Amino acid sequence: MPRGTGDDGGTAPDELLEQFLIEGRELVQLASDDLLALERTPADRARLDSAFRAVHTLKGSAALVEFAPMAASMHAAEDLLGAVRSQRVTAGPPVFDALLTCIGAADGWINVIGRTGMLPPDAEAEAARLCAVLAAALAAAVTGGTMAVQPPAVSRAAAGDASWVGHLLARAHADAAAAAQAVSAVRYAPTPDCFYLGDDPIRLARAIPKLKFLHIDMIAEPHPKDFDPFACRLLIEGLSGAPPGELQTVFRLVPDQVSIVAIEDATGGTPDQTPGADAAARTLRVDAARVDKLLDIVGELMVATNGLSGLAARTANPQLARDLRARQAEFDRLTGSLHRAVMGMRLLPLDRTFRRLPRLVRSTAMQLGKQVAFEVAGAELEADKSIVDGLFEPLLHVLRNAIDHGIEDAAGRHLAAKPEVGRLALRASRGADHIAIEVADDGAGIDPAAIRAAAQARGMLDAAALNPLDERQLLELIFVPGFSTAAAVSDVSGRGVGMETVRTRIEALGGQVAVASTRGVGTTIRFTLPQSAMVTPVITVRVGREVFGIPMDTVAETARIPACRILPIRGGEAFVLRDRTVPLLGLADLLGMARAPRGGESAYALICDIDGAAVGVEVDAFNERMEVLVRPLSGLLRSLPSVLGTALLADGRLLLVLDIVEVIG
Amino acid sequence: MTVRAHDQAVSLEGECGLADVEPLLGHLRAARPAPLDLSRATHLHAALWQVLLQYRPEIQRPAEEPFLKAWLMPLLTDGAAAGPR
Repeated sequence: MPRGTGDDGGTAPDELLEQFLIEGRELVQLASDDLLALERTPADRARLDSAFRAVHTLKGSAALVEFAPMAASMHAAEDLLGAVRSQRVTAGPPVFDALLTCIGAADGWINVIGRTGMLPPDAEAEAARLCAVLAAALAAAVTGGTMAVQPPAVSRAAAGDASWVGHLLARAHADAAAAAQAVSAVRYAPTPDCFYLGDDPIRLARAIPKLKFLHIDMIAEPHPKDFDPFACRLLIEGLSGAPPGELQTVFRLVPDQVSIVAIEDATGGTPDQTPGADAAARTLRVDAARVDKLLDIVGELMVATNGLSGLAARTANPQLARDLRARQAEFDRLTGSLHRAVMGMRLLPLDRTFRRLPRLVRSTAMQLGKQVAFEVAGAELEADKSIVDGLFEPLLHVLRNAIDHGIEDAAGRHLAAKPEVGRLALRASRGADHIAIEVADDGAGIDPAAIRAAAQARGMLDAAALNPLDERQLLELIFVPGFSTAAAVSDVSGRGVGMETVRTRIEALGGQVAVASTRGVGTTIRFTLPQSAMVTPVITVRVGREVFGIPMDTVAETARIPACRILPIRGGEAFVLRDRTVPLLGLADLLGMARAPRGGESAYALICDIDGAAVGVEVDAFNERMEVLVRPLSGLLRSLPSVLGTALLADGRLLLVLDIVEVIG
Repeated sequence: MTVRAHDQAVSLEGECGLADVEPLLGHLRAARPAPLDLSRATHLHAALWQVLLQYRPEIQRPAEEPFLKAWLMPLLTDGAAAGPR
């Protein structure tokens, strides 16, 4: 039943749209995952059904929010998939190309809808084109050939085969303890024309001995006006207490339409399927903005907790002061663990971004007429949401570069005696306190001579500046703005958004980019990223009337030095700390600020470790310690090397966080 | 004829097969389809269930036959399965 936007139990249209966007992205991803998997293993019936459902649901959702061109193209994709399911067509590369192109278009549309609330103006023309492509693929593929047919025998539950059994068991579990008594499972997908052949699938389902659970689904709810009551679109799944052999007898006349699985095999054979379903059920979907709000409150709580230390100092009652300090320590500990817990909520698997890439890699390779085997590892590693989301564009850029400029065309690879299919790997691994993400290709590598020539031709550097550069330094030039070695400005990359954008994006996430390349062997681009967002513990210090933050990890200790122990040495000052002479530098001097004369009996210094040597940095006062989210500088300020970034304090003030090594250097 | 129209309802009775698809569709495509009485049906062909799932008519009296009652009626009454997904 088509639902209008107005009479939907009070659901506002924009809520409907929001739901569509969330669900649409998931469905596009699901369909694309399934199709890519099917392309490798065409016999995977469960994947085929899943792709079909995803496309079908996507069609329904698009129609619901009245994006007709999108619904129309999904409808055409559904027809093609339906033909594959009913084994009327053989699923070959043209079929997958057409389907993935269509899913890719849907992905693009959803992104545009997310930004603008509507389809792009060319969507209608694009949809018409897609429908034509899909119809052509359908026509071309109708050969009477069949896709690999499920064996009529009892399946020994190959891993991919039986994922539906896990879902079925999970579903049955909610109903009754019946699942526990089930010995075998059956999935019966009657062919669309089965009614004409005299089959009544419901009657067959009735004949299942010792039926414990039955689930019937309409897999392709068509548009009401296309509804054909005589085309069977049911999918029947059941659990039985009888052994598989008895089920085989029941379904002996439709062996090509059923798969029968012995349960202990299925559950044992698919350990990664059922837990997945469990995990999904335990997950709570929370708006990221709410988690951020929580994080803000935690920040304020930390500042409030820090305020307790002042109270302890103000009381003359030593017992009360001790109690206050003890309470403060407890608060510190609790706010610290609260903070970690909230940061943990923002951790997401890299897979959220990685999973979007295979389809894009495939389409880029297709566009360029290259063959690429794409392999992904480490997608299960987790990082902060901002990092996982922020990785998508830089990764896509680097991958496209690798396919466009790295991996050679067929002739080139043949000449280089390399396998015909290029290899492209995306690998994530965890270091001590960071995540490394590498994109490695086995292509032609980067030619340092070509970089040298290009840099000179573009007037970036003259010969005198270029000559002393070694290969590694030359490679680094690809990150310099305006640099591109693309011989021709191709459709894929080289449109002036080069590697410098990649570097800027990665640095904005608190990471670094490096390149390694060997001519003829390949290129590796490596991102090094923090695992959590840049929450940095800092100590705030006062110099004159200014307050700065200094990251705690650069401060070895804080010291109060009696003025009488400070010695003038060669125009500077030094003091002795545990039998070592430590130079004392004023932070005001280092920052070029006016320096007030040292008042009082003591000087306050941060002891920093610079290349193994201790250096004292004098400040007027130590303020509080806190954890802040350091945002990298942007715009004009970016050129200030001594500033690591800024942090917004709970009271709305902006704190400059200094890179003390740069300040001293 | 197992599809019968009464005053307030259309009832499906006994063993309902492919031949009942067209009459049932005729009723459900009416401007104001009468509710259905399935209480006397002993079996409904799969094609009829497809029609019911497609049109989701109002059910005045559900099927009482144990198999239909246990496994098929929930498809029509279960809110989670209803409507476009």
